[in-house]
Amino acid sequence: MSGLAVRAESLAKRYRIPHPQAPSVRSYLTSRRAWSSPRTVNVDALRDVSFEVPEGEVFGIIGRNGAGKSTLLKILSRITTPSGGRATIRGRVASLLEVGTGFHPELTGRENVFLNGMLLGMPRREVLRAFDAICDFSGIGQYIDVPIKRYSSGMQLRLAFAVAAHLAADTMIIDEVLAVGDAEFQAKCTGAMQDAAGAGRTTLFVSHNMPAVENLCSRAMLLDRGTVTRIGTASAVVREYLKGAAESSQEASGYDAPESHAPAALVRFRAARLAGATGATPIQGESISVDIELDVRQPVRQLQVEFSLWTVEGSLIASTCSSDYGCTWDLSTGSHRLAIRLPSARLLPRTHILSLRAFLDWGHTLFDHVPRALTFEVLPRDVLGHGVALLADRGVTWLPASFTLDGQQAEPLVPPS
Amino acid sequence: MSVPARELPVVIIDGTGGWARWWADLRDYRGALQSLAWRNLRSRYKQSLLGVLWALLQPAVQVGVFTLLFGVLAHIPSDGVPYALFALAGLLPWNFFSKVVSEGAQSLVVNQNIITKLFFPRVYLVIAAGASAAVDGAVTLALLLGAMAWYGLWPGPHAWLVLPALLGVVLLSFGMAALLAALNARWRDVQHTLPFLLQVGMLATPVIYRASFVPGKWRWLLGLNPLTGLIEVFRSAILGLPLPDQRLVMLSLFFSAMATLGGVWLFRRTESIIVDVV
Repeated sequence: MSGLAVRAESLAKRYRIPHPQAPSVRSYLTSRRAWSSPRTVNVDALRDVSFEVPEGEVFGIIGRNGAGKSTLLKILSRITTPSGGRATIRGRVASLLEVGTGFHPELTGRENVFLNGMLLGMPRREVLRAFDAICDFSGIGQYIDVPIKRYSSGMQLRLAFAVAAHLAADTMIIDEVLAVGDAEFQAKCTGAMQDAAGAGRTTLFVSHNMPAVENLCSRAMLLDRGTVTRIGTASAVVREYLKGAAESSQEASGYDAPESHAPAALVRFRAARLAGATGATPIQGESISVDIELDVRQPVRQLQVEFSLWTVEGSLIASTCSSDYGCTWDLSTGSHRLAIRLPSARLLPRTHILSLRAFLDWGHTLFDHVPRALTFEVLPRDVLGHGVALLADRGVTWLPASFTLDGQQAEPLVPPS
Repeated sequence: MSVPARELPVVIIDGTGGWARWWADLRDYRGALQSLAWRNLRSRYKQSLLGVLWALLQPAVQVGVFTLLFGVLAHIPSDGVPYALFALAGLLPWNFFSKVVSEGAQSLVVNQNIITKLFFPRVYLVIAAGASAAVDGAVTLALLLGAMAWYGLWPGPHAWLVLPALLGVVLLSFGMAALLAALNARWRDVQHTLPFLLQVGMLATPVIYRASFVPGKWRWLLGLNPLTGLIEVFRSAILGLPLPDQRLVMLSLFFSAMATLGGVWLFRRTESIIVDVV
């Protein structure tokens, strides 16, 4: 165990949940068969999970919903017991599966700081010592003696995280705490986590926020349906997770024209497909390609194809026409394939809608218009390379930028290629 | 590693857990008990005009009504002491028991958002739920002693028996609360039945009457009630009344001990899976 903070050996968790067709109490009286029918089914939430975390490491645990991440954290924080295997943890553990556990709305901010701190395992005198720092961090100020039910939800959250940030434990277990709050608050939380990591504290960190995992964690583990799929450097494991997510995602829908669609048109879209560089669902910062099939009934001259990207709320992100790039086509009768490649689509993680138009004479002769040809997600990634998540609240797109102060240019913020 | 590892406590997490670990956890997480009990106390009378005065008002009104009904109208014998004192001395342990059991039984369910997010010995929730009952009990005791002084009544030679009797009430209350809390985590039927059971229980316990009031042929039935002996001894000791029938008390104490140990045992057995079923 020397140098190791956490060691898990073949951890398993089996839940017995009521059988969906379990007999009712009444059927025990009326039917003899009820006594022999199954009442519970076993669900394996974790199977044979083994890993080691050296002292001072920030270790990420990622995986899709239902992969067993939360169950694992609950076992390591002793909230629930494993059905098999064992884990050994050295030192004082503080687990933070939620901020503000045990907060009481009727009590004041001050009272809640003490109650929450002590509930999280801080001795009273330690809370007393850290109290001013907690107040400062939370920015609650004069409202500290007001019942927290009068606080905004943001204030409650800040106070709760302030307590958590001042926990002095050897090992921290953190679940999705950063998934809440506004961008400013998230940045503050990330900062606090970085400080903790810098102070040599062992941290187990579960998150869906891939940029945060890539940035904060040195190593990570990927869980899939209760088993360990991969353990390695954070960036490699995040890559693998995103690849899996992109492959299995159902969000990128293809377009197939209905039979009766615009029968009189000379040119119509028959099908459209979209893909990212590594899978069906594009990852932020990756190139995107769109493949379109066109049916041409009579030869046309100087055909232009336009595609537009929209948010689901209906904001236009960008509209691009082939003629912008000097492309118009003279097409013969038959089927044609058009490939569009967007090498640097600066999209944000959200659902996008792609519409298509085919026309002549800059729109005067419209052949076909498909308003929702494709709907696709973009998966978030650490595009700037230092842990800042560029999410949908940034607008419709993001802009690469560089900053120069007094002639000193900061490191340029370019996406990693 | 060249640097020798610091001496840190090691926690081994597996499916088992012995009594040694249980005691160690009780010690290591005592801060959580303080926090939970304080939370319970502080939040109790928030946003109320009378505040902690309620702890005094409730038993006072209760005794007033009982004195009128059972003392003045029904003439239930009170062994020569004023009926108000008699009833108050019975209500003190009963109210404590009733509050600890009803709040303790619900403690795991009410706080399931906490127990699914944090570890500490689960029994602390049951104990913390009794914090306000303890304060109420202390206030009632002050009220009782004040009323005794008012009537010029002093505890008799058996007054020391008050302490073991109260200790017994405390142990039994928490034992039963733990038992019911564990059951309630699984089957909510407990919390639906409990108010009714407690109502009936008060009549099936010598709170507003003496055990000797029940005809001798049926008196043994009261002995099956684990609270009978404790309440009878407490009341006799504090009011200086003659001590109750020893055989009855022994029978009742036996059931009391069984209920307490059974409660703690069942709670311990189910503790590790409570989170999964609650």
